[in-house]
Amino acid sequence: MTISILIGGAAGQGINTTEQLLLKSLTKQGYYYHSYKDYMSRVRGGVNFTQITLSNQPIQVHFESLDIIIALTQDVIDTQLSRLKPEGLLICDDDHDLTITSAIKVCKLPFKEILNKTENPKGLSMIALGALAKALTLNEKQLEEMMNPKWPPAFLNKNKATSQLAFEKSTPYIQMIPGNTTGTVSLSGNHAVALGALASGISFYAAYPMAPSTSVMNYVTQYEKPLEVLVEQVEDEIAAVIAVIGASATGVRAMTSTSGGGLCLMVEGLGLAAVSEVPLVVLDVQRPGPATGMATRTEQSDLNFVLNASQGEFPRIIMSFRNVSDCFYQTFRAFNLADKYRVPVILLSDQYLGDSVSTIPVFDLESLEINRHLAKEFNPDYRHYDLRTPLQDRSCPGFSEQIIMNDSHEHDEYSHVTESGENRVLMNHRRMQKLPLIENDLLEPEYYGAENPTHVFVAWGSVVEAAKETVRLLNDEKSHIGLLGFGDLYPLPKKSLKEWHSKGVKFINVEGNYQGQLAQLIACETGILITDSILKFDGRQFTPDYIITAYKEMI
Amino acid sequence: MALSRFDSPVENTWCPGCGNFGIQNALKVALEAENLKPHEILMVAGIGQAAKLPQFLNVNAFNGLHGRALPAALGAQVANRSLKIIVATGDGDALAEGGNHFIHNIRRNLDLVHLLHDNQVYGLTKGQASPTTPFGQVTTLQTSGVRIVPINPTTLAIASHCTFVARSFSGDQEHLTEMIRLAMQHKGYALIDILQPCPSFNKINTFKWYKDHIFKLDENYDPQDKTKAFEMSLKWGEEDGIPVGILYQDKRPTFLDQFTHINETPLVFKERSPLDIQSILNTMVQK
Repeated sequence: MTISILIGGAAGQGINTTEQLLLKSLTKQGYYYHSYKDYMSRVRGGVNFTQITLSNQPIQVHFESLDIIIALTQDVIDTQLSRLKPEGLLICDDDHDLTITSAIKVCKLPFKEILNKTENPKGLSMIALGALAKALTLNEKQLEEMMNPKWPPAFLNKNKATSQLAFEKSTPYIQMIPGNTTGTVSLSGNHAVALGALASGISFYAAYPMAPSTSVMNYVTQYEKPLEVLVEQVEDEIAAVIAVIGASATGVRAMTSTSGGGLCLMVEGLGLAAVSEVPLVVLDVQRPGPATGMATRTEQSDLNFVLNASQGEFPRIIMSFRNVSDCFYQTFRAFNLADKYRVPVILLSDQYLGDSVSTIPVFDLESLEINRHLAKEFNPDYRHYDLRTPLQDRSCPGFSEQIIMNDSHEHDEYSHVTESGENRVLMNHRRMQKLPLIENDLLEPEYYGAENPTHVFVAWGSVVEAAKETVRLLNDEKSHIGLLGFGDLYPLPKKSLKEWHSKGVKFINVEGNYQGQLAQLIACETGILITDSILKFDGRQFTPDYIITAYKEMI
Repeated sequence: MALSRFDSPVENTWCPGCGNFGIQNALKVALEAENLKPHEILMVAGIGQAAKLPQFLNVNAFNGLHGRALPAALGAQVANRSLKIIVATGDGDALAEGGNHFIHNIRRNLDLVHLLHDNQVYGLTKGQASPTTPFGQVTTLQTSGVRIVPINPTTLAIASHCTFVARSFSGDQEHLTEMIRLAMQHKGYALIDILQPCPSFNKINTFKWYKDHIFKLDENYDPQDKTKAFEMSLKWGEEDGIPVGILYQDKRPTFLDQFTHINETPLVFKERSPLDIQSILNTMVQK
């Protein structure tokens, strides 16, 4: 069972406060939680909302149709009411204009009166909290426990009074039997990336703020002191990527994050890391482009860009995150792969995943192992770019009396600049032969769904969770559908694709971009042509309802 | 010059008479005098004739991209603060392509020596104007003369709160060596604007021209007076002459000094484990 709730208002009204207090309380009570933020690129006003999916089992999607809407402004009603289920509940101000034609339930609360009575003019978020607690059939004690004990007493008492009065004036609507959330954490994708990077042992994080990646820097900074990590907000994204490469060349793990626009500036760094064979991990939290595009919206349109970014030919690894757990584990894995192969690793997340909070099993740190592939001792036979083997332990300046040079020019084994044609061929071969070796470390896409499918969805990144829920819902209706959910993208894992292709299934790619960029990559790498696509590029994430409708229209 | 432990076997590709030779020699002498060993030094360079310097020396090096020496030096210093970092850039490398990094890393007060090879012309790309080429000077590209005014790197550095701003001349080995040694002893960003002739592409600012125009700051000059330093840095040309020596010096905490949670032991030697985040996770996990 799932309950979909939308809390909407203007920027600055405290929707985040309502959500955070609710999250803490509900997960404690055994509810799994997924929240997705739809906000405008502004500090005050506009229509912002948080949409919450509650379930008694793990869930990482949101739906088009809603069970409950809490509207703090008229705009929310005007733009979101059509999404309410026929029997759904609308909680709003008694001042709001409504023309209700369907059978929805309406709980009109006197917002002004409640705020005046409790002398809490900025307490709208508390009205939302109280009304929502009642709608979910929680009790007064549970509501009281939601209050933050760290608030100053006067503020706490006001908020308590406001939320309680709203609670009293509201009506119960729905009740769900909780599950068991013991041993879970509730995190956003960007928060999980920060923890993954810290678990992998980064010492340095450099970035330039850019939505929707900025919170990664905020989270790393939150832990910089206990973990002895240095975070620097640098002058631009070029400085960010080059500083990270400079740190990595000197032996520490380091990271930078940005969105597509910042990655454009970082492109020269990709080639520098590749030719000097310095491990590099870069995160792109995608948003719709080109140029400034839509700063606070989501899209999966940077795949083609990162596949080819930077001049010349060199090996690279591109991975995407499918969910919050991936954000942690795949970030951790990226650092091991970067060190092993001495190549750039580009991680693709997106605004939806980066900002969404989900309840997931806590990370198993015991299962993780840091592999640095470093040569710390002096070795008279050391060659920084050894032509005898493409994979070698790497030395760094300051490790020993070994003199180390990292160079952006074509170079010989000892990093001396050379224009020798013979050396160029050998060095190019040294670098490029890493690609087939990387294939041994690739993770095949996860298969989910029917044993004998008629159609198999192909999806990547954050869309995989929506596609997975779609498959579950459609198969419950007796369809026979499967899903190949890609995390690793390049080099492209081909085994599962080829197997299903040989069985004659029909693939449908489901992607958050205009061109079907994964389908293009698959065609290029395997010759398999996917002719049916479900594509979305309005800056909003797929929902299962959306994919189901599109699928049914297609077949 | 006598054999040095800093000599590299790599064939030198600078033009005969290039000012870079003087800088290379003075650097080697200064490194010996400061008793530094090749593995204790990290040279960071961008791209250009000046940025080839680390290729012609036996020291650790990061030879990155045009304009990007300083961000790489930032990362390297964070990773291993025990390395003595020397940045070598040309005037185009530091002030055109890398102008943004120049200003902001001076603000950071990274602890390094920045050798700014300033020949007032582009060498590697064959004779175009650099950010320090005088207004009106004819070049291979700007055949009617340069139409924009030059940057004075020392003035810019003082305005950006650089903690050590000096000028020297590649033709005066003794002075240049002394400046490099003092720069190495300085804690913080030590910039040396090194005037050097480019015999191939700058026929105006020749060895003789520099020799005729430079004058040494005398003992009475106080490099701690910022306003005076600013005025002095603006002196240039036929009437004023060109001052060489330490124009400005100040004490300010270095970049790493500001991070009180970062220990003296270089971060690169810190042992890290995934379990380091266990206590953080413990505060988040649902009991």
